[in-house]
Amino acid sequence: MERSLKTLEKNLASFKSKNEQCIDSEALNEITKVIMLQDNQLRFQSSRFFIDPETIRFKFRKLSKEKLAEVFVSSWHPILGLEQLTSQGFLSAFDYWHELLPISERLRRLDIGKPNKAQDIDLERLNKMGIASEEEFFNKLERLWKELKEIHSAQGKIEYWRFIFDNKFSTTIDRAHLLSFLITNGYVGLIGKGKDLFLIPNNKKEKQNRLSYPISISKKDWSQWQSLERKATLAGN
Amino acid sequence: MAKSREKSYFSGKLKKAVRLLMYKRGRIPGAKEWELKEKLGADYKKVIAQLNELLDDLGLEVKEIIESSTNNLDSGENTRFVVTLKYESSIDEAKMIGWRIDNLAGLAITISLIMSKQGKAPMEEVENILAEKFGKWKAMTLLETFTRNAYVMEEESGLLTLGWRAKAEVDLKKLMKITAKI
Repeated sequence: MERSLKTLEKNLASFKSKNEQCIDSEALNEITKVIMLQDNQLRFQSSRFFIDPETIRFKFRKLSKEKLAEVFVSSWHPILGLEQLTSQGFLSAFDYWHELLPISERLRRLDIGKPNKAQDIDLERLNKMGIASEEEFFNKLERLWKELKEIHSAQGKIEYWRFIFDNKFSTTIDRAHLLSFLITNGYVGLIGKGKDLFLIPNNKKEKQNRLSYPISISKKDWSQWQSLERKATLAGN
Repeated sequence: MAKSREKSYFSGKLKKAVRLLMYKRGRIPGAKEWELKEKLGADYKKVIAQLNELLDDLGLEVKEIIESSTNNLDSGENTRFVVTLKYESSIDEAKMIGWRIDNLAGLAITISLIMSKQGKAPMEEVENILAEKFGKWKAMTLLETFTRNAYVMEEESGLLTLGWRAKAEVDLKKLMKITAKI
């Protein structure tokens, strides 16, 4: 900036015509704007104890999660917000209760057989038992996404039901659950054409899907797909 | 005598203020300035000051949040009053109110990185840095949680900015100061 201003100063005497002087003023005006922006930037940086992003990355890379959490809570003042029942909420709850069918009726409609007695178990215990782990869940997601991309590159469009179907009902549900996660987070697109649903895998994360689209899967539906699959296999043979 | 008269004059308003500020009536906790004016009267700031004295014993305080032009707290008015923890907490306390270490650590990284990028950081970049620590999918779910809880906002252009909640709850200067020291 200093050099630009000196150049302008040096040449000022040689600007004779009105046009030249206007260009000179314009240049001076632009330099002023740059200085103003630099000033804003410096003010912002000093007000925020500016640290270079690379320094932040370097520092955070070597810190443990516990230390990072400690850093955060030392500058954190969470907001207090209490929940309470309002008359409007009570009326909605009453309507819901009034319209809710007995569990036996709902289970009968879903045709899932007699349920086991529900028991509480926390994730930590499930992890210890080797039944569930976050790591395993994320690996499953990765594998399903990869599988979808491979099928898509080989066959083109993929029908939703055909993709989630497995000879075991529980695996079908598991695949549908994992797929819902990929769709919600923008890794897979879901397109409806008439009654059919098609899947399009994205190579990277796209804008997240904020729309909610519930898909119900009953054992009856699954049995129908199973018989259709069998027929298709027999026809293929 | 005059002081006790003043206190009793405010006691009814104090109760109203507690209800307005502490109970959630919508998506965002707290109360807008105009609501306080309407329900507590023109001297609402005196009521808030008195409430602050009471809350101090509980380690709480009423904080005034001013929305910026790029990050609306809500449509309409631009000042909101919320109750926050007054003093810094510990990890154990954070766990007690339902926070996991991963989320706290992730939030520290996310906010600091956005700050270091002058208030806007590409979502992919933040996700990649979080992924170094937590793995790809966990990073994704963390950002989803932070966005849903208004700690960060995702712009159309795919840039992440600080959400109203980060501005209201986090002492940003202090966070950056500690980050610089470690």
